[in-house]
Amino acid sequence: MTNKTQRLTSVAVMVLGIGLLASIAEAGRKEELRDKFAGRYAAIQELKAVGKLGETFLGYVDAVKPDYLNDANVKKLMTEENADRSELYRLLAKETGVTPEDVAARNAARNFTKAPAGEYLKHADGVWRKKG
Amino acid sequence: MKRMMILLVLLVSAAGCFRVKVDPVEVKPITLNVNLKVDRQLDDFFAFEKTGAGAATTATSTQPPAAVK
Repeated sequence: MTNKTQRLTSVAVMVLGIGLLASIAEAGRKEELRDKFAGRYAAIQELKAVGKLGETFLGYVDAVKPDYLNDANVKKLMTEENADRSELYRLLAKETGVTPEDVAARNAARNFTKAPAGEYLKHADGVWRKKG
Repeated sequence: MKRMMILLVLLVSAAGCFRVKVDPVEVKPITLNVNLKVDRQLDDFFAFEKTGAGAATTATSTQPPAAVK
């Protein structure tokens, strides 16, 4: 094997190795995110049930009334949830070959469909509506 | 020069007689497949919601009438 061939092989192996490591890191990150979502899930559901938080057409949660953000717990949960969603959408977009906005829109549709009656949903016209 | 002009006019006139038929580009199935792929990824990721505490909620209509003031 010539020097040039050896060098090319080394570079190819390195590139493959880096790609593999990146995939493993992303899979690990998804697991971490899932744990965070799961840990927050009950609290978020509770806030949705009392009408303080709701799902938006953009795939994120938001306070149904701005005043609700005066509650530090509501604000914290919403901020953390949305930050993690943003990261998840980026990861899934990379995996599926679409944009993070596309993933967010699919998740919004999914959340609108599975939301129970009584929860507030923010539609594309910017209006919050209680699901009937 | 005059001949060239006549030739050019004839060519331009003839161009109007040609019809190029282009088949419509079919993008819907691809979009659908990508959406299904994304939906499956999301369902897999959020699978804990179905088993998690307080997750048992029934889906109903997505067209609610009442607006929040």
